[in-house]
Amino acid sequence: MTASVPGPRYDAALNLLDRQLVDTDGRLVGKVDDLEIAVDASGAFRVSAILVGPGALGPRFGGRIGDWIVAVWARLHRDERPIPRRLPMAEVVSVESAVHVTRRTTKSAGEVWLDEHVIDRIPGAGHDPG
Amino acid sequence: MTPASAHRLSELLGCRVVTRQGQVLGVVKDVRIAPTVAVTGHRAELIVVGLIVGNRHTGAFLGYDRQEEQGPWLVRTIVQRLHKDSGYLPWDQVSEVDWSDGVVHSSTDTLDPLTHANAT
Repeated sequence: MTASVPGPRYDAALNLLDRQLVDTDGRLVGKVDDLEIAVDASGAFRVSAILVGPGALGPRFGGRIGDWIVAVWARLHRDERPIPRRLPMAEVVSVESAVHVTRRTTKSAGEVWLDEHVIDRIPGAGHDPG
Repeated sequence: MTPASAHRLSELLGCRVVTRQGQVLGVVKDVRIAPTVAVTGHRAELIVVGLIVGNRHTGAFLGYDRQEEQGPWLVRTIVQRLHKDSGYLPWDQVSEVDWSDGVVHSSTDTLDPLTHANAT
């Protein structure tokens, strides 16, 4: 069995779920909607990834609202059997009030397309108010 | 790529915790995770080391049920009284997780006192 070592402990729902994800450029790239837990060869339950987006959030709601969120997300998704966006824990730099990740962006292809073709063309879109 | 034997945290939250005698200790309100010696990427890998178990959720999502210093005092006192039956189940006392039925089988009949996770 894999043993834990001294260090910060987290209560996953309290300290991680719904936290903001911030990329290397300081961009807000989503929230921690669920965590993936993998059972490894030693039997330990290891946190393997952060799951992001409506496909991860919907099942947390449960009931009709959860089903509806997942159904709309799946209907709009280009894949026939979509899976939630998955951010491996190897890309997590730190867990504070926000979760900082190394990936430049965790946006979906659709969001990137929208940024490039619509948002970035709006006058003033490149201006940083800070 | 999603591992073959992967589950979601949300599948574990809300599972009933049952002893060998069939006594229900409560439901999983939270999952405590801790670092290991293995490092992947920038951080130590995190594994599940225990479960926060209880029958109520009021105030639990803000941590009032397990954080002694969290104020205001009145709210903390009321929430902790509501959660007086809540406790901590170390992972080595979990004998099995039945994902399909949403049941965690406990090898102990009693829960440890609830403590703060010390996340920071």
